[in-house]
Amino acid sequence: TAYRKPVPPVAAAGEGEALLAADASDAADGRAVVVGPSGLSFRLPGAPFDFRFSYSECPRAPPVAIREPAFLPFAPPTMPRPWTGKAPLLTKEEKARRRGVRLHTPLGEEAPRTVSAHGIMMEVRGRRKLDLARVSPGDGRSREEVLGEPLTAAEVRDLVKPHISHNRQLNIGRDGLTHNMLEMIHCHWRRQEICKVRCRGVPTVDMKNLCYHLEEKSGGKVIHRVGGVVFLYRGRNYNPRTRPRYPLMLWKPATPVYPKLIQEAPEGLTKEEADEMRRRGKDLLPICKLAKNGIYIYLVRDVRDAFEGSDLVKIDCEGLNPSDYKKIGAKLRDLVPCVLLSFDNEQILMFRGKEWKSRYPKPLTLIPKIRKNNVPMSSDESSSDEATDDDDRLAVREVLRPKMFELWTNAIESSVALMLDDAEVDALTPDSLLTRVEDFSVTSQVVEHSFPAVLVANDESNPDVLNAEYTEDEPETGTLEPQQHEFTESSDVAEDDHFEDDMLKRLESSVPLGALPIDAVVKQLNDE
Amino acid sequence: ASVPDPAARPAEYTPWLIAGLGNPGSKYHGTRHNVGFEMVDRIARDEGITMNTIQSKSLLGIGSIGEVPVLLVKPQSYINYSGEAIGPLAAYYQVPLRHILVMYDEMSLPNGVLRLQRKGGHGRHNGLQNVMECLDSSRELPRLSIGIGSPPGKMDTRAFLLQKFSSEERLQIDTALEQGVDAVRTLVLKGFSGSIERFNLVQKYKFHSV
Repeated sequence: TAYRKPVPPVAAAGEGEALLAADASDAADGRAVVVGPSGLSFRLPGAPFDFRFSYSECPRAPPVAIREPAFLPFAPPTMPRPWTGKAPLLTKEEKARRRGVRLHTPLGEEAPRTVSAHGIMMEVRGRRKLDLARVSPGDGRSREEVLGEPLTAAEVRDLVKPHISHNRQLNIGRDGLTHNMLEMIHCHWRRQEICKVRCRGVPTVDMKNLCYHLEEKSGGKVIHRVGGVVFLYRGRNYNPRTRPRYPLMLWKPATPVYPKLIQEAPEGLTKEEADEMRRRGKDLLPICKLAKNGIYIYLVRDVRDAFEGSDLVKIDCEGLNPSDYKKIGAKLRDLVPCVLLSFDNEQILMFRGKEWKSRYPKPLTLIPKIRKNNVPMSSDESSSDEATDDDDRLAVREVLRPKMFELWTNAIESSVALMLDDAEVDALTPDSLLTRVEDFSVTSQVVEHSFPAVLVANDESNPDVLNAEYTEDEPETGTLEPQQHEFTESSDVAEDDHFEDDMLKRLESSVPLGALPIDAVVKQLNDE
Repeated sequence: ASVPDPAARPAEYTPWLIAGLGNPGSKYHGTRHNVGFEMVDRIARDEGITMNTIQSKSLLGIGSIGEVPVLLVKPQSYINYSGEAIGPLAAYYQVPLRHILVMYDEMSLPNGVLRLQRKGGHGRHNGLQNVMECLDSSRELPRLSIGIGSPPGKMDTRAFLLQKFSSEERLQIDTALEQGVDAVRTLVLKGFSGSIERFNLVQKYKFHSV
């Protein structure tokens, strides 16, 4: 609007508050609009605190000017003149509702003689008197008394559980906790002990502040919070009949004018420096893209982290309302803290400030500092890779890692693993490696699933006596000695050079005729 | 740091199994999905470990970083079945779950950004999913995620994964892999500590400065 009136100098300086009243009678009652360092608030007689449109979202700077005349957004305490108008016409439902017919007359009363088309009307329910201007601070109990003793963890769980997936909730958006939401919270508390509050958008940048105001102004207790969802408990001794009542705001008061967030030369910087930074910020990659009405819980932390690496940080706010990203910027300025440089192209550009201190004692580098050769052994190994022959390297390995090396040699000896020599390793292409692995997996499968059998010496040709001794080489057991012995006995499997040959053939020949249980069966059948 | 086992012979550290995920064969060599293999190759080269053993469908090399024994593994089963190669190896070499480092490509990170985590989900990476299934369905698996960016426009995810890097992406990846080798070395020698957190932080915002 065109209305713009500078606030009194005391309030503008942020030192005290100035009372503005719409007229003399208001001033006499103590009803006033207060312009103070924390913005615009409304004082009513008998109210426990100064009302304001939004409790959680208020800039920290004192306002510069107000945008509308100093009117309270509440209903007037009295009608200024007797009402001469007519009641509005009733809707169909309203008529039906008001036709409350009583079936009996209370004792000692004479029945009314109103006759209508529906019979004798005993009584007509009157309109409920809605006192919009009522202020009552409650029943005088303190907040602790209403809350009672703190809830245990089990109680909290039981209370919260039925409400987690329900959307019987209070939605909080960019205005934060507004005055009329207090009434809504109390409405929820009439029926259920928990009020679920779902927050989205700007206030989620600073959930701590929001939870503080929720507890403070409603008198409840935040018992559980997950992301942007807050569970507000009404207290053990809460009584909905004697709860505090506040008048509703009938319209949204205009927000006052606040000083500009972006200055030509922000604190500590000259104009040239700031311009240079803005120019540099043009090619900066934004650290994240905010979603409209998203949850920005980790935004402050992310910005702080990003300031560790760079002095400028940009946040992409494409698609957000301009007022939203300005509010987010103002919050970041206070919470991170940082210096706001620009809101151009729907992006917030920030500078970390001149007296920024890193949280780490040493400057950050891309490479974590650790000496490469903690142990001289490894450097020997890498430098003299070509010079030393295989045996030396094996010896080094054995000294370094006895247990693992043992397992490894066991694996090779028992042909669970296949060792390639250096020439092969050099000549390895991905394809040849794949074929090698596939070939080897076939042969090793044969090794793993063929069980050396021990025939019992008693020569009664009894097929039941074939109790072969299964020594499975389950890799999980890690003990491979028995299996290994079997193989070294049966054939020279352990020698690596044989692996160049066709392995299937070799393995077939490795089992002598008559060693497998099946041979005994065949023999027995033949005899019969 | 790795806890030395008191029962073992003089001061032997618990080994680390370092596995990079990828598809075998030259058809897939150098693709985005095979970035885990490149990381293993880089570690093997820098630490002088020869990958010369074939065991349980994978190519492996044993060696050490500092004094800590490590087992470098390149599973040669296809990536969606990597767990079948890694699981038996971990069991055979008696590597505990907290010492199995899986290196894989991560689409949710920008190209060339690394992240070391103590545990986590699979992030719809089929290879990692299979590895986790084969290792007790445990989430407590250390992992090095190598960012490869997300597919441009409406490109098919599979086509993007099985594509080779563009030349400037290749540069970013190469520098990232070099930083990754240092990070793995730090991890193996010192365990998850403040320096790993710092590494993650620096990596996360390394392209966000001018």
